[in-house]
Formats: sequence, structure tokens, C-alpha cells
Amino acid sequence: MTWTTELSDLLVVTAILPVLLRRMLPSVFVLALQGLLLAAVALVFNPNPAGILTAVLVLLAKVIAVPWLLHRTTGRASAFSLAEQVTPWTYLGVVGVLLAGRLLSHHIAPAAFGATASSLASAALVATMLGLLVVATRRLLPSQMLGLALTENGLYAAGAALAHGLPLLLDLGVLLDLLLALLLLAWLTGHVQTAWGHVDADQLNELRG
Amino acid sequence: MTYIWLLLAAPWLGPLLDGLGVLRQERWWGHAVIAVAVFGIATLAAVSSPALDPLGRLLVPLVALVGGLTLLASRGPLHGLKSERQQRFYLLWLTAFWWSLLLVALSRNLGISWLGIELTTITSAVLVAISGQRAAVEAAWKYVILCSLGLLVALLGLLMIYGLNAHAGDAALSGLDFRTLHAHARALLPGTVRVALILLTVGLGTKVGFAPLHTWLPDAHSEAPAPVSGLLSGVLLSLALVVLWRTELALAPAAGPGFGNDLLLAFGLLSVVVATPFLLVQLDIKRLLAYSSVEQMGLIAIGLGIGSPLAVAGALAQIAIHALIKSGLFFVAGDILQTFGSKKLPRFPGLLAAQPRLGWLLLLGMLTLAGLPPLPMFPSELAILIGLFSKSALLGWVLLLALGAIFVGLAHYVVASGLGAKRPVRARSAPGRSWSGAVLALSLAVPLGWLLPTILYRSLALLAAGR
Repeated sequence: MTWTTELSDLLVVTAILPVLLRRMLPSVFVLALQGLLLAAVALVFNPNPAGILTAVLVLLAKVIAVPWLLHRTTGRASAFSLAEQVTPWTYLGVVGVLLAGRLLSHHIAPAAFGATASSLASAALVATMLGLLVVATRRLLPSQMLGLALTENGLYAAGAALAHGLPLLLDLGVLLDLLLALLLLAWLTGHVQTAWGHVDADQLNELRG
Repeated sequence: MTYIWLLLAAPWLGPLLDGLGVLRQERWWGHAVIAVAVFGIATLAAVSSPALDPLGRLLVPLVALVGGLTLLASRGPLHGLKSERQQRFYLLWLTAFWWSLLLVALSRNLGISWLGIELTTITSAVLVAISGQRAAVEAAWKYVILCSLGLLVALLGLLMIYGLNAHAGDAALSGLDFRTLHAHARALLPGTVRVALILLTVGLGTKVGFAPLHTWLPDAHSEAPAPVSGLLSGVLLSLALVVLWRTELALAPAAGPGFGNDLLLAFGLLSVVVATPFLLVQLDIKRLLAYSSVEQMGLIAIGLGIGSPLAVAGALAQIAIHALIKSGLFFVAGDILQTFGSKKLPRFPGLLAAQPRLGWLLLLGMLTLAGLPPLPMFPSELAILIGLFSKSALLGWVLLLALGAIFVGLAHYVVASGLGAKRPVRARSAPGRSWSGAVLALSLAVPLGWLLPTILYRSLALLAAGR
């Protein structure tokens, strides 16, 4: 299929950037770009009315709704000016994920699925694991939300690679569940901001044992 | 099908009437009546609806029952919420949580089950955070982040199964029906299915509370309002475990005999062993109950993983009895918290003398949870233990030692808090109002504990002989 290699490469790039960016605004911008990319993936794999519908849904959820919610949450928590730390361990993590993606992708997408599927599946696996890395390495609550959204984006690409997209009910359900989870996390971030006066996960330590 | 639609609609009647402003002074009574009606519909559905499989016939009435008891026991927390808006908010989200649990219990499809389980995370997290206190908000945050990530890992496994199906020509949601999966599993690539099963076990296992993925569990379960903790600990964990077990059974022909069973067995044993020391040093009564749930899920996973009719019957009975006992105990814990203003066990020595009703309920519940014969949890635990011994004597001894240590730990706490001091602690405020739900739950567990293992064993043995 045309464009799959380019789309896969771009997906990996949009997945690496948020790990290395220290501030929320550019990260959210990259997340929206990645959403645009996923809409394109939906169209390339399903050039039919159903594919167009899915692409529109992806556009609404991943390019508009989720980035807007993250932008709003970050603004309300006055976290735009705060910088995350990017240590040598983060870089090592990225390298490890890229290697693991290479080594493990054939377990996710067997050879029988074809070369295009496997190149996108490998990119999707990398994007998913990098999303997990963002959650693991970030301290600010909005950044952890960003990590969750990135992980889900990676899985969306995996769905496209492995099965040319999901049945509409499942697709809608997953998108809706993610939106609800992020809305809930935004609500909780507001509560944390009121109760503690900051949104730093490392300093949330009421619970022990 | 009529009963199923009715069952999915009926719980919403409460919030609807609330929203229309019909229920005011008698808000709790209105919800109690609806809870009884939902349980009635669920029982009718279990008896007569062809849309339920045998497992559903066990789980749907159970979820309806414990959800209903939770509404009954919510009288205490509702009393504590001052404004009408807060009361409606609590009942709305409790209904949503209950509904999502019913959806998972009804579902016979991996995709729908996944959506339902993710929905339970969201609906219950709102309830965990509802008090707005620092610890509660922190617990809810950890809960949502960890369980959502876990479920996304499980989603990758689900996508792989779906992808294999799609390449075999079945690109429809119905291809993920457990029965269809089982019928077609032989045609799927074994290696890929195994990787998918590992991802599903780890992902759903986060939600079940398997060690070492359980770290969110004691926090979330101890910070939620006590009746909600009962529903979280007693029902949600086992439902996630059942979904995992159903998936593993459906894919067994592809993954090879015993692959999924061994995963369940390994995580189960690890959970029991890891939970034991935490149970022995825990002073906070709600955290104690939460760690006991980690142990209980481990025990049930062991039973399901062994796979023999006896052990599976024990595990399924354990699911039902644990749901009743654990929710009953959480209701009691809620009352204790309200009465004494503390969850720490040393703060209420002499409970039996100060509050005989709560004292006896705690005593009986804890000893049941410890597996003391002839209390109702003993037969099912014995079935699981016998099953494990006949599989491997070494593992059997490991489990027996852990269960023995837990027994001593729980019994010690009961003695320390119930009979300890000669001068009983003073109650800080009027006793709570959840104990009636606990009485109902604990007394229902008695006949079930002794009848259910036998009934399940007979029907499972018949199934096995029929094959």
C-alpha cells in the first residue's frame, strides 16, 4: 500500500518528540499532529465511506477534543511554565524502546499479515511503549494524561495495522472510554490543584503501606 | 432478551426519579425499592433468559444482589452528605458503577467486556474521590492511571486476537464472542495467541489486583466510601478475573493445554504469597480488607487455574461467598469508622463490649474470611486446596502455609479489637446505619457457602462427563 512506510516513520517521530520535549505546549501540539496522522492512516487502510467516517471521528477526538482538554487542564493547573526533567535515562529508555520494537514486532504481527502491516505494527508498538515511557518518566499530572493519550494513539495504529481498523462499535467505545478517562483525570487534576496547590505527582504522598 | 433490556434499564430509574425531583425525603427508600426490583429481574433473567450462559446465571444475580445491598448500606454515607446535590451525585455514580458491573456480568463477548471493565474504572474512580480529601483524590488518580494503562495493555492483546480473526476472514465484533472464539481457536497461530494471552493476563490482572500489579488496590479500596469499597473489592475484582478466565478458556485450543491455566496459577500463588505479610502487619481495617482481597483473588485464580471440576467449583463458589462476606465486612468497617472516627484497629479495643452488634458482625465476618470451619468459606477453600494438592504437593503446602499465616493474623486482629481492653473505647458519635446490609450479606452467605460448592461441582462434573 502506498504511503504506509512514510506514515509509519512519521508516527515514530511524533511518538519520540513528546518524550524529549520538556514543556506541555509543544507536546500537546505534537499529540494533535499525531492524531492527524492517525486519521490519514484510517483513510489509507479503508478508502471507503466507513473509513471516512472513522477518520472524521478520529479527527474530532484525537485532533480536537483531547488536545483541547489537555491544553485547558494544563492552563488551569498553571503548568505551562513548568518544565519536566529529561535525564540520560530517558534517552536510554527511548533507545531501548526502539530496539524492543524491532525485536518484538513480529510477535505482534505475524509474517502472514504482510510487509505493510508489519512495518506499521512495529511503529505502532514503538508508539505505544513510548506512551508508557512518558507516563513513567513524567511528574506533572497533565503530562501523565498526555502519556495515556499517546499510548492509546499507538494502540489505535496497532488496530489499523493488524486488522485494518476495528468494528465501529468497538472503535467508538474505545474513543469514548479514553475521552471519559481523560475528563475524569482533568477533574481530579483540578481537585489536586485545590488540595495541594501544585500538580506534581512525586509530591502526592498521603498514602503509605 | 426482554429481561436483559429491562435489567439494563431498571437501575437508572433511581437517578431518573431523583432528577425529576420525585424523591426527596424518602430518597434512600426509593433507591432501596429499585434495588430489590433489579435483583428480582436479574433472578428472573438468570432462571429463564436464553441470552445467559451458565456462568452468567451465577454472576448476574450476584452482581444485582451485592449492588442492591450496597445501595441499602449507603444509608450511612448518604446521611453524612449534607447537601441534596451531593446525595444525588453519589447515587448517580453508584448507579453508573453498578450498571457497568451488570454489563460486564452479562457480556459474552471479549470486546464488550473490555469496554465494560474500562467503564467500571471510570465510574468507580469518581466514587473513590467523592470525599474530596487529599488521600482520596490521590488514590483515585493512581487508580485511574494504573488501571487504564493496564487495560490498554490488555487492548493490545485483544487487537492481536481480533487481527488473527480478521485475517481468517471474520472481521466482525461477533468474532470476539467467547463461544465463537473457542470454536475457531484451532485455526489461529499458537505463538501469537500466547503473546496475546500474556498481554491480556497482565493487563486485566492489573484490574484484578494480581501481585505485583496490585499497588493501587489498597489505596483505592480504603479511600472509597465503605459501601462502594464492598462493591469494588467483592464484585469488580472477581468480574475482571472471570473475563480473563473466559478468554483463557476460549483460546485454550490455540494456546495449547495448560498455557493460560499456568498463567492464572502462577499469578494466583504469587498474589497469595505477596499479600500474606501485608495482612499480618496491617492496622487500618479497610486496608486489611483490601489486602485480603488480593489474597482472595489469588486463591480464586489458583482454583480456576487448576482446572479440575472440584477446584473450579470451589473457585466459583468462592467468588459468590467472597462477594457477600467482603461487602458485608466493608459495611461494618464503614459503621466502625462513623462510630469511632477511626479505621485503625488499636483505636477500638473492646469493640464487643462497646458496640456488641458491630463487634459480633466483625468477629463472625473476619473468622469466615479466615476460613474457619464450619463457617461458609471453609468448603470452597477446602475444595481449592484439595485441587492444588492433587496437582502438586509442594504448591499445596505453600498455599496451606500462607493460608495458615493469614488465619492466625486475622484471628489475632479479631481478638485484639474485639476482646482486647477491659475498659472499652467510647463511641464518638451515634452508631452508623450500614449494619443491616451487613447482616443480610453475612446471613445469605451461610446457606450459599455450604450449598454452592456441591451444586457447582455436580453440574461441572456432569459437563465434564458429557464431553
